Amino acid sequence: MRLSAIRQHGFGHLGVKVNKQIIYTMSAFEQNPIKGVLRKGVPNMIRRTRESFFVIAIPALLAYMAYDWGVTAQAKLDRKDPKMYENDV
Amino acid sequence: MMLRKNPLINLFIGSFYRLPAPININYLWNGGSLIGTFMVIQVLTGLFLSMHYCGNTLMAFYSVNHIMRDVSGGWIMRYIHANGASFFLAFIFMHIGRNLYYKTYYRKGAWMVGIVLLILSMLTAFLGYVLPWGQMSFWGATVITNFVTAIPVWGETIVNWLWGGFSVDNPTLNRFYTFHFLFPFLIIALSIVHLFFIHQTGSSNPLGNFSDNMKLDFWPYYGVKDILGMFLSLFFFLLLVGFSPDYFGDAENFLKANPMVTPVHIKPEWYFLFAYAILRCIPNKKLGVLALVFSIVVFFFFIFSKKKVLPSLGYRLVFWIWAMNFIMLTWLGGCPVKDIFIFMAQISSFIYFFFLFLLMVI
Repeated sequence: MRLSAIRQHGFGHLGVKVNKQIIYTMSAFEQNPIKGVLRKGVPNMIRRTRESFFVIAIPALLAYMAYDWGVTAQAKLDRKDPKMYENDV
Repeated sequence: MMLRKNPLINLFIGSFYRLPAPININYLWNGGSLIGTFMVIQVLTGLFLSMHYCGNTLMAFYSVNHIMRDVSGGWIMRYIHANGASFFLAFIFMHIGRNLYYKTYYRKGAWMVGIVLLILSMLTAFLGYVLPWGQMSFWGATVITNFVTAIPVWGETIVNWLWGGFSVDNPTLNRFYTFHFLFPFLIIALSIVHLFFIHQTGSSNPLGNFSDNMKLDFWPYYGVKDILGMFLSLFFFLLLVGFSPDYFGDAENFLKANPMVTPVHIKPEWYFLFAYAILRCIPNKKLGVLALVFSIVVFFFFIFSKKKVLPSLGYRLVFWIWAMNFIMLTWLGGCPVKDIFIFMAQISSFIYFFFLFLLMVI
């Protein structure tokens, strides 16, 4: 149902004044609530993912690389130097 | 309609039932109602907990144990309340992230009240974490309240006034309980002010454009969508509460507060870790505290940014780099104080502030 309304501004008074209401209805038995969910929905999801994939994936990859480097570098610093214990009996 | 002659009912109908909402808002617009849901959950569970909790250092820890073991349903009230705080703040972060991404900070009133709400929520969460009087509660309170000593000249006096003594002790716990009970009502009042500002012009939309001629009634469309969002989030919330309720907790808090024994790794809850990382990486105490405060206060400066335009590709890339860096800062805040992690935190803190500045000017 769409409202054809003259909008007014202000708390509690948004779009209160209604000039005209056009109501279209259809029997529930004539409608399919999941119409096009696979045929149109899946391609749309692929399109939306492709459009934003690199914008999110690149920073995420950079962050992961930094995390991995940090954890590895700190683990190396925490280790004792193996060369000092090479000739241990 | 006859009903609309009553001013109160008219207000309700105009603000909720027949509120015109843009036709194209997505699930990121569920954030507000989800925060509200968890606000209600926190107030209700908090109310039940307050019936059995004792706000005295001799009894607090044991009263929480009593709630967990003896009080009927006490364990679930406690776990819902503890984890509810995590979800509450997670949704607040997502809500702020959405507003940053879609540049809705051009609505200065709503944005400013929103940042005040963030500060109040973080304060309330911090106060609440002290109440169980475990090791991390006590030492977290000690660390955070000691920041006040960074204030020149009067710092020590102010912190003693805050403590009600010369260290975190019974007066501190008592007043933290009082404020933890009071602040949520302040948050509710400010949320109404927040809604008031938003309802001056109606909701924004993902395209960022004028949407006065493409609206839907809030009910049933977005009312039902909000209810779906609530069910989905409550599903994951109850999974956490039911199967892994101590996941976000700290093992140190199973020990009663001991002023003579400092935990090896003092760290706050996850939602404060980003600020904690910024604080810790700066060697100078006063500058560290300033950076900590500025990491939240900086959001107020967004009201001075350029007039709203649709986010460009460059803006979106900067936003996501900032967001991933925020996650990195959160991880770094939980790391022990070691060279590489401190160095990474310094780089990340610089990126945090610099990229926020970029978001303001792009």
